Amino acid sequence: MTMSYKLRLEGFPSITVSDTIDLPFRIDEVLRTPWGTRISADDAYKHGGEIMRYLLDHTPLHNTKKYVNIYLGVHYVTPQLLSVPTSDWHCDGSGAPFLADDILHTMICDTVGLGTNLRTEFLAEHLDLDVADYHHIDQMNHQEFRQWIATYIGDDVTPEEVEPSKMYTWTSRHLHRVGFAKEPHFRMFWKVAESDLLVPNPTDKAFKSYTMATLGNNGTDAYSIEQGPKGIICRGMHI
Amino acid sequence: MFRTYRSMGHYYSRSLLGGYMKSYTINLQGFDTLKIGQPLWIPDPAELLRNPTLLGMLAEDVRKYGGELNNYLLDRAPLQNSRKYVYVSTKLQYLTPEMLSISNDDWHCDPGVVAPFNHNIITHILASGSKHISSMTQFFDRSVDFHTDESVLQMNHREFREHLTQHIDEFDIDPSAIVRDRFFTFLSSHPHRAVHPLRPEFRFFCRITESDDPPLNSMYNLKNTMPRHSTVFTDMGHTRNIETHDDSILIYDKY
Repeated sequence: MTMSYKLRLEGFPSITVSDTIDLPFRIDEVLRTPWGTRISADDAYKHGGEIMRYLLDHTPLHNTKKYVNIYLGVHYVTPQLLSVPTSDWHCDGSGAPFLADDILHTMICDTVGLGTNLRTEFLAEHLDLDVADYHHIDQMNHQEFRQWIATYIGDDVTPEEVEPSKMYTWTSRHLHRVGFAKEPHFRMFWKVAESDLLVPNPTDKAFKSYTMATLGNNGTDAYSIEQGPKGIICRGMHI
Repeated sequence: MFRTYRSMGHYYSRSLLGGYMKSYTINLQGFDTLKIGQPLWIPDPAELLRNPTLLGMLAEDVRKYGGELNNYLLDRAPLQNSRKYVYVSTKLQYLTPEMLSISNDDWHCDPGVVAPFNHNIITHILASGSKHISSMTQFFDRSVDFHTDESVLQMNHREFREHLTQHIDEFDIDPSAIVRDRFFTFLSSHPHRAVHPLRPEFRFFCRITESDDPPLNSMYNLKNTMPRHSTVFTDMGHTRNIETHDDSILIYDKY
């Protein structure tokens, strides 16, 4: 007799959505504000600048985990360039996918000069799966889990996309994805991960004067935007 | 600079140099005489970053080398096809209150030749860019007669611009700004001026000129008409603004 693992992938109804947040920033400001990945809350308040502090103040933190990790950046996305490593359905979180108990807050920022037509998609409804034990789904890493989802679920789910300038609070069990842009645009993304396992980067590694993108789905890393001394450099393209 | 006298039913002006000049009246046309096109689809600034910058490129070269958007604009400009040459200029600029699209915001007439108000060019302009773009070209809200003297016929672009600026308070006009994403067609007798941005913004500008003047052969070549950068005016002078490289785009937001 084959044993099975009951897997629930959460959908939109279990996501907490904020009201629309006023974002009084302009394109020139968001292109010059400090960016980074896995910035601690302390560092964000001390060194993150006005925009990062404003966004953190508008994030409904639960404050039930040991660490707060902040991600902020602006990407120049194009039809061949992803702002994230993959356009496949996946779960976020430290440790094994969907088993982590991280709390995540994300927002696509709608402010002057930024495009918001590339929006994160979640499942419209939750999905209950009986997964045979031999898949060893609970031992998969993120890449294996993405491939498994692509193989066994594919696109046979109903997606629902987020609205810009609203904060979405969700967990590591929320399957989601971001697709390819249909046209070039600037995309500003805000994410906060509250976690017991994911430790923030040290200050000198957390702040970055560039953002990275991915050339093609699951492709190679490429610079997206660099904050240069005299100008903003949009990279990762062939003109 | 000039004093006007009435003599024998005619107006004469006496210049400071002592000569007398016949009075001369220019009809400066206003917004109500502009031809306004239909709204066009113009991409976001992020996409416009990839559009080739053109600087007075002949329409036949735009057809070959101008790229998709520039050809789309050329197709939709309300060309009258009554002149020998059609020139196309398009550019995307990153403007701030310190980084300006042109060097001044004085009223002037195109083109930059002697008696600029009296030339036979037809100009079509379209502006677009950031969502809340503020730097939109302004025209007189109505047509007015400018009573001056024949010396204006000898003035070049800069002299006429200064002459117009000196007398602008006599006209009792209000400025009327164009709106984004539409072609506005005007003649050399339409004074207009640039508006400096209130805040940082991307500004896309297309100018298509129908003229009987041939290109200056010594200057006209693909390299000159297809620069890989746009420029702005700052207190440091004329500086590069958005620069296109093979693998990147550089937006100079500091200078």
